[in-house]
Amino acid sequence: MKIALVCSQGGHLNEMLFLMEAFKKHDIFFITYKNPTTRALKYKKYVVENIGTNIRMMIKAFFQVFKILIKEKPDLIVSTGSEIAIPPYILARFMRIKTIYIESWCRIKTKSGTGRILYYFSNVFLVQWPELVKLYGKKAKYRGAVI
Amino acid sequence: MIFVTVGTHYLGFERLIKEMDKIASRINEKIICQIGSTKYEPKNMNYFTFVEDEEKIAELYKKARIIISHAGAGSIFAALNYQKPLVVVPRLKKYNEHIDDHQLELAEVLEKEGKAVVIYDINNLENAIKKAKKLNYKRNKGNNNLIKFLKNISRGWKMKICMVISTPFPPEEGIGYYTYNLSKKLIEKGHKVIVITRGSWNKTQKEKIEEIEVIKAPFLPIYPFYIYLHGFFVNKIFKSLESQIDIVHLHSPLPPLIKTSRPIITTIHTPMLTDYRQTRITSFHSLFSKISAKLVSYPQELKLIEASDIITTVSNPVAQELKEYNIKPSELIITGNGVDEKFFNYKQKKPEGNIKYIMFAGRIDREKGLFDLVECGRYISKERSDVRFIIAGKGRDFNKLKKKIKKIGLQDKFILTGQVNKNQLVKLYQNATIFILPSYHEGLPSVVLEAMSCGLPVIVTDVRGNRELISNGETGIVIPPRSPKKMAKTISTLLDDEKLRKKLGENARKIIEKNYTWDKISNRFLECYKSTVKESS
Repeated sequence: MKIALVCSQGGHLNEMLFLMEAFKKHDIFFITYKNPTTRALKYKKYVVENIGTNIRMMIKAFFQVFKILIKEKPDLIVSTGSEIAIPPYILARFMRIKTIYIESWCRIKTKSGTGRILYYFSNVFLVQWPELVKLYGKKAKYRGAVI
Repeated sequence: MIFVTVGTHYLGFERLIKEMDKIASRINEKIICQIGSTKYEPKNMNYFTFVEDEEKIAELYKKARIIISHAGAGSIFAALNYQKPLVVVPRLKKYNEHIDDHQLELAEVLEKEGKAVVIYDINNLENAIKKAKKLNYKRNKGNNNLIKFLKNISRGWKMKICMVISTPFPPEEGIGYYTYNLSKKLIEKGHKVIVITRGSWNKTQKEKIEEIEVIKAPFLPIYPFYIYLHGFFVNKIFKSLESQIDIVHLHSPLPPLIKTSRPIITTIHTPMLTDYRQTRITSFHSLFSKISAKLVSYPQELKLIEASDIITTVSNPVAQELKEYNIKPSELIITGNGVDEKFFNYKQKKPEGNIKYIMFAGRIDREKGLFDLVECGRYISKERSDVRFIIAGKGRDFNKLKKKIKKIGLQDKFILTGQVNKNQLVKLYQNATIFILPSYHEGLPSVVLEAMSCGLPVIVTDVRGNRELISNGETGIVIPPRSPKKMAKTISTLLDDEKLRKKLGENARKIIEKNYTWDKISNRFLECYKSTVKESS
């Protein structure tokens, strides 16, 4: 199976790298931000420019990500977060690609902005603290944490 | 070495840095400090403001004996990842160290789980550094539940299934249609299917039939050794595909055995022993096939069963026949037979005219009880003239049956259509008033499923496969086999009772929608597939 791993640099990337063992039998590639820490990433990767809260960059990212998904045709997208996941998850809905979203480990009692949106777009929505399950709702599942 | 880090927040964390500087003057250990936006300049320890090189900071985490950190996710995650003793000092709003007190959240959880020592009063820091020496949180790398969960879920979602069959594809008969319908449903559900079957003798052909990848392996019809020869080619093809395949699904009789570490599921449509017993010796050819069934095919089938993780059958009667094979009950699953309920629909059913059509479809064979049906036709046509019998299909007794009809003089009452295709067949169903199956034994007859799906009232004989499908008086009518008189009476009664016909037809359709759609069957198979994938991981 082909899996797209989507995350921004820093903590989100750290968490994803920690989960790599789960994907080791699959064909994987990253979609991440252009950044010194992701430059060193040894896996196949596509980089997009930092989105942040900039609407124009978000629209641009939609086109970039669409091209990547068309080219790679992944069967599954997994993300540990930050806003870079928003375009691929929304597109995946229309392209019938399955998605798993894992809320960042540092979210214990509060929702993240990305999580709030992707709760409605992901097939499986995981949180890493049991406390968050109640806050998000029925779909959120706690199945352990990265660490 | 002690590594102190306060992250990249735009507010400083003077409280921690000042205290560390004091402690540094008292203890005899090297301290390296990342001070971030803190204005205070330490005098007794090495420090820098921000990290430029990720590798350099990774080095610091690795070398450190103890890590002292604010309660920011990045540094704590790193510290835990390197399994270092950790002292956490949360930034607090009241000292203007952060915009709110959310760092307390993470700090509290870490403390509760024993992953870190948390300092709420900065005067306790020195003491805590001593304490932290003993606290060594162990990361359970091989036993992470989240990783396990992800492994399993990513496996069950999109599977690539390799079906191996021994009959023509695109389908012409039962097993072919079974494979075709199942594959189409699986593809609809997002899985991928490759079908390997027999091809011509000299080359491997590849084609795509409605998104099903079909590979036809070379097949030389040298009986009875073709099994081994064909098996060699199939295995060669399979080896080149193996890395992408999750499940092997064999349909017997009688596909070649696949040598693989992947889970194997075998669906037995007809057991070899049953086939062997039912073969009547009428010619040299049938004698030969009977002998080869016993000496070659049967042992081959045993090997298949042994290599399989799960055996499935289409019906209860077949499962009964398989009792002789000593298969563990946990490995034998009845997945059932299905019908394309959208194609065989009742919506286009034609209104009945003056002439009523009684229909049979299937192999033209003595075992199907067709001679009883002709006999029954004789009784009925004595009483009423509005009945015609339609017999659709071909088979070895076709000519004999024709002769018999002629002999009785019922040529105008019986219509033998010969082989019909799917589109013609559904029109026949929709045109008929009653469907009848007078056979002497049945597995799980697809024709009855199709007729029921078209909302036809059905009359079947009281044999195992039929009994499983029909409850008498509810979804159809069951009559004893080999009894033309009773058959005639039942048909006649049913023809006169439109209300009952309607009730039977509607109930039949309901039962099909409930239990016999390909959607349901494919779900049962997916359960099997998933269970084997999990077991073997």
